[in-house]
Amino acid sequence: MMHYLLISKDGNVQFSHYFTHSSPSSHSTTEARVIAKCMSADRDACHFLEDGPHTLVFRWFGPCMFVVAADQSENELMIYEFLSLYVNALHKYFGKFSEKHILLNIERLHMVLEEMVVAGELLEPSIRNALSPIQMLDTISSR
Amino acid sequence: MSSIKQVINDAVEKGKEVYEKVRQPNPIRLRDLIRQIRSAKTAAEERAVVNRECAYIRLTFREEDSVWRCRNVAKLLYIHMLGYPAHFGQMECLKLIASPRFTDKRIGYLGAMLLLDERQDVHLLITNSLKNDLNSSTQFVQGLALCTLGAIASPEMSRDLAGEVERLLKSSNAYIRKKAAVCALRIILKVPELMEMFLPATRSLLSEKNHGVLITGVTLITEMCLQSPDMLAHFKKIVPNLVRILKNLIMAGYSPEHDVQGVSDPFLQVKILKLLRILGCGDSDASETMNDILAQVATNTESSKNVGNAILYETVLSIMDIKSESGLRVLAINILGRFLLNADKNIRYVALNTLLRVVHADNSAVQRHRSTILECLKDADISIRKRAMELCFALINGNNIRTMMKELLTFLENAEPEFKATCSSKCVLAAEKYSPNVRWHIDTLLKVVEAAGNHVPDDVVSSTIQLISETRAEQAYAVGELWRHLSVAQLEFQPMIQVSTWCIGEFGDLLLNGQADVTVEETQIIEIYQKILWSSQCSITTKEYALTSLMKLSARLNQEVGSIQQVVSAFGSHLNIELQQRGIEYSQLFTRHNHMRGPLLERMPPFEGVRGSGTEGEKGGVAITNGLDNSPDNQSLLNDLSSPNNNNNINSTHENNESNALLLLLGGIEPGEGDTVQASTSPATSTTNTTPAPRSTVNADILDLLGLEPGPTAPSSTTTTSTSPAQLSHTNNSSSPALLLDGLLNNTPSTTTTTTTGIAPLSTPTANSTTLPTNNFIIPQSLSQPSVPGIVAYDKNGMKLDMTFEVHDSVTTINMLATNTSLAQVTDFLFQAAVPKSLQLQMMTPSSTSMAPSATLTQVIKVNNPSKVPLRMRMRLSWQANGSVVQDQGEISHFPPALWQ
Repeated sequence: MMHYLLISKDGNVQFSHYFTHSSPSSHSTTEARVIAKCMSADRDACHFLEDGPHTLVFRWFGPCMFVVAADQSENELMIYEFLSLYVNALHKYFGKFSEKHILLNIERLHMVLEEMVVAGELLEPSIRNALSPIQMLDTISSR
Repeated sequence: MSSIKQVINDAVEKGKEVYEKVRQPNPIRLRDLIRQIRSAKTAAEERAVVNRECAYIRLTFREEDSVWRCRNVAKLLYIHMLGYPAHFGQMECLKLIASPRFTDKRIGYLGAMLLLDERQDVHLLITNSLKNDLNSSTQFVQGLALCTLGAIASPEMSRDLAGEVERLLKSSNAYIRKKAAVCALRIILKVPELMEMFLPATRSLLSEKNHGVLITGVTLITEMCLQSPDMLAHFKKIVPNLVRILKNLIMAGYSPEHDVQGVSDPFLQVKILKLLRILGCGDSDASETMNDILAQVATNTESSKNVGNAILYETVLSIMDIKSESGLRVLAINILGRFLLNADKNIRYVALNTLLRVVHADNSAVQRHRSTILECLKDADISIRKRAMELCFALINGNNIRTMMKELLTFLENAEPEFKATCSSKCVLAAEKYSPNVRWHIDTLLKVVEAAGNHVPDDVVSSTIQLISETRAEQAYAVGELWRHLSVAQLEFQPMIQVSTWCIGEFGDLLLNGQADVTVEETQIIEIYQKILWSSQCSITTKEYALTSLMKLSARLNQEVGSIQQVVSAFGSHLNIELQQRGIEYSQLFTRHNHMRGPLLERMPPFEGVRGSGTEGEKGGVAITNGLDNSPDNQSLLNDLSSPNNNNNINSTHENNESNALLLLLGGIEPGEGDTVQASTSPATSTTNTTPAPRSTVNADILDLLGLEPGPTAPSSTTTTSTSPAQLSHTNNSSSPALLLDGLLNNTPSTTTTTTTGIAPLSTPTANSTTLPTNNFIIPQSLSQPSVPGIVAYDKNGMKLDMTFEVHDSVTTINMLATNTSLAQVTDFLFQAAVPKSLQLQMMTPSSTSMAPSATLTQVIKVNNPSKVPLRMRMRLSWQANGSVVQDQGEISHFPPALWQ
């Protein structure tokens, strides 16, 4: 089970989504710790780190770092692959996804993620299926 | 003047601007807010922007403005993400959810997901909204509600909405079904009793074609199987279905929708492999069914890409966990061998991780990769090094200990501080288990202490001391080695100095009479000790070691006793209260009580059978009686336990005020307390204890000194001085008075816990390690155990429960010691028990609910058995390890009959 997903750029948290509940007051300390931990790893180092009961899986996409904290029983390589699935979905949704989308369309990032992961479990491995309800809702809303 | 005017004008302008902004009809857009916040140069500026916006948002919320509510909530979500409080938007989210517009609903649900937490009262309100939307006729509304429910469901909400979810799980719409499946998963995680309800609908999920439904269905079944053994048995029959789905996936040609780097839906494949592993574990029929498909996946999967390796990784885990054919296991281990040589560090990490998980199933297969694993110890990557270290310890055996230990010591020397503590502890354990001879063992421990510097945990220090103490033949060698270390020591590494000073204090005579293979002058020793005692680099604990050690040396050295006295008395005015007390007490031994200094500073009896207690729970801990304790709790506890002959003891000491005066001098205790201290054995032992054990004359002399008259009080005084007769016969007779007085002398403030552990035969190992060396007073646990033998109540699934007993009239106190023998961290440990109706059961709170690998916890259970019927107990155990729940139950019927006879 995944617990949260963070996107960070230059050491700042740009986006965070929690799949399971943790007290909001602890979020900022957790995020700071996790980001610092992942930033300190070399670029070619192993992308899995231990963090208490969780395994951190992080992956760089351009200037942005995506981090997922998952249970230790999860398949790390699969989580690693999921991050690229998510980024591909964002690419497809935004046309060309870049860090300015994270800044300006933060609620869309949440929505895409929600179609792919609920309660920390992968919901939809197909990008097309994940995006179609969002695009449908977008058309309805814009009317 | 003009500048002041300008400033005022500016301020007025600014004020107007702000006012207009607050009053402006249209609130700024989210992206404008983001720009403003991003352009803030300082944290204070950012805070100002956020506070202004929050104030404005609150204002519009109060005005019940529904046109801009959506935009405002969206801004609030952004502010929330930045870490500012945004809980005041919760109600607005609920209003948005209730709105008929899709745009509002989307933001409302998103807000609910992000802003609400499980403990909010607003949950009741949102439950109603969710119920409405789950019954909506539009699939998107249902979908939104399901997503939110999956994210925030609390136990109450789960109970209220389980019916709706179950209905949607049977929907014909795949979009709804997959979301309902994840909601069901969340619900059974919160309320496991609701599992039954979802069972029929869950089974039909597997016949679906849609991958989203399949993957969530498999996830849901996996969770059910993990949660309940009944479900596990029930789902055994779906193994052929899963095999078929997996086969179709591999055989299917290219499908653009689910293709990831040339592999067809790796996510689903991995989920199915995981479920197969759970279903096939320990079941040869199910394993038989899977063998073929696992072999197929293992051979057909492309291993050049990350996805392929992810699948292979999961396959290997499944092959090793189920009862697979031996050929398949070889294949799996070979895949891991390939992984280990992979250039990608992620793959190497995963390989080590997997080897660690399978090493218990197939040690010899993993041994083949030993040299590669040792190579990984030198890897630059910290995650890889950590896994490699853990794996190395799992691979150590009697044949390879020498080479492995050599590598591990090199690793330990260069390791990061965070590794040093665990690594050194594990080195000690491994050396203890497999060391070829004692000399090698001592050498290894000394190297460990040296290599780990200041990161040596206390239990390593005490293990080393115990080892040297109990091996008489090697003491001279050890003390020589330690002297060599100490004479060139950098004073910054405390543990090495602690071990050295302790041993030199005890065995200093061996050092001087040439047995130790070094030539040492007494003046040299004093010089080093002075350096340690007055160094600012040494910790107080180290100085305590050194001071006591120096005192002991005063009975071993011949010429330098005078300078020792000088050093010791100088500590009478030390700033640290502990050292000061020692200084004063010890200088008294040079002056008023000089005649008893010799016997008092006798060598300690060897600490037999207690080594390793700090880490190996099943060996049982050591019981430490720490001498005297002023805490009233402890006092009453001791009195309780020793009630059968306690009065007698009190009489004997009250007759002898002189002795109390001496005790007062030595330990600073109140009269009347000294008597109960040694009665820490259980009553059962104390009563059998009244026959006087043979005592040497020295012992009698000491008693004489204390003012205890031999004669009528002799039997009870024996119980006072010796914990059990066994102890006297075990240890050197002449040393027991020293033992006693050592106990009396050591009156450290932190003794409450240790003394209580002395009472219960089960002592907490951590307490030992901290107090052990300074207190110098140890009673092996086996000696203070009551007469009823203990039992092993449970030893399965990486969990061991030992029980020891104390009988008091009709009440049996069961001390349970749980040991985590697995490699995983155990959390949420729960032990439940039931006894026949004629008995009464009382469970005390356990010492902890979580255990690190090979750590222990204790729990006390009291059983009242007035009618003396044979004791039986049904127990249920559950704990979490590796993220999954382990449950087991059973009956304990092999309690020793002595408990009720």
